Amino acid sequence: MSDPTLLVLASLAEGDKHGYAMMEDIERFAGIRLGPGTLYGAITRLEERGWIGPVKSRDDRRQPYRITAAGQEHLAAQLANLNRVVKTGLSRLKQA
Amino acid sequence: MKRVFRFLIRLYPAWWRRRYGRELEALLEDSGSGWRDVWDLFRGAMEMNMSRWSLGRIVTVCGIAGVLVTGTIAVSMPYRYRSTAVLQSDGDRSPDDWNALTHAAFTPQALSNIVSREHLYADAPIEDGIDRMRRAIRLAPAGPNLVQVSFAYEDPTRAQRVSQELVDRMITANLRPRDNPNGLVLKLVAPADQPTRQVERKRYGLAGLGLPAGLLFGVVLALILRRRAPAAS
Repeated sequence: MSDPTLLVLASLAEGDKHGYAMMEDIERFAGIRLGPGTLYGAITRLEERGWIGPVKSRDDRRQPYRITAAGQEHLAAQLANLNRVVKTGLSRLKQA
Repeated sequence: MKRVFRFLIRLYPAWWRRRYGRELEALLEDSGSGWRDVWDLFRGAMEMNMSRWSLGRIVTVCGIAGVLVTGTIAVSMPYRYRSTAVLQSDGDRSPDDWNALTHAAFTPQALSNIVSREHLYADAPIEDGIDRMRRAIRLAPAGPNLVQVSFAYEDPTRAQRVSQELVDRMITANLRPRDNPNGLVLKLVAPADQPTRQVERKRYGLAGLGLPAGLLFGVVLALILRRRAPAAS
């Protein structure tokens, strides 16, 4: 799972976060440090797709984002796919 | 570092900077980003610029960039001159026989001596120099029992001297019974010539490759960007 958009969605599934908080969270749970250009590329695409949205904040330089219902639906579908792949791979490894 | 980041942020399109520019600046400050993020930001800026371009524009720009990159490499490549000598054998030799003879004549030690003495490939370590020298040597049939031995180098005089030494070494190796079991005689028909014309067709080939390579890259890039673009909702 190295798709930056999925990593951002998975991070926001826990709660609202701004860019730096997402970067730290993703590094913690996935062991992947997203570069600033990659992170904001993913944020741009996700916002354009309507899967995340900005949350009102006093600090406009540290804008928090929230996952939308459509974003949750997409994340759930993608994770289910991944889960199927993981289960299949593990069971085949056991058989081998 | 701040100046570099400011410059990189300026590479993003204006619509993007208006929306995310200040946030990105804050992220760079908070995360203590350094040189490792320069390429990431540059790539991000290019992606955002191209995300609103048409397929035709991406392909055209990549084609032009391909021509510029390969053209620059081609122009910076040194011109070379190829000096050629001709050897004649008094009997039939198969390609394998010629290969065995060159193998015996052009040992790593022999080539190393030539590289050092002629100061060839001064910018490269000796092992690389030997490899480059091997690539610059060419053996080609020139008629019945005739073979052309040539060497290409930036300096025509050294190309000629080296080419002559190569055929001399082949003749010497041919005198050794273990390297010439059939006892065939090898003689010099034409000594290494003084090259006058630059022979670097590769340079034009490389420059010509830039356009199709750039166009192909542009198509692939446009398809990747289209896949990443928001769904038409």
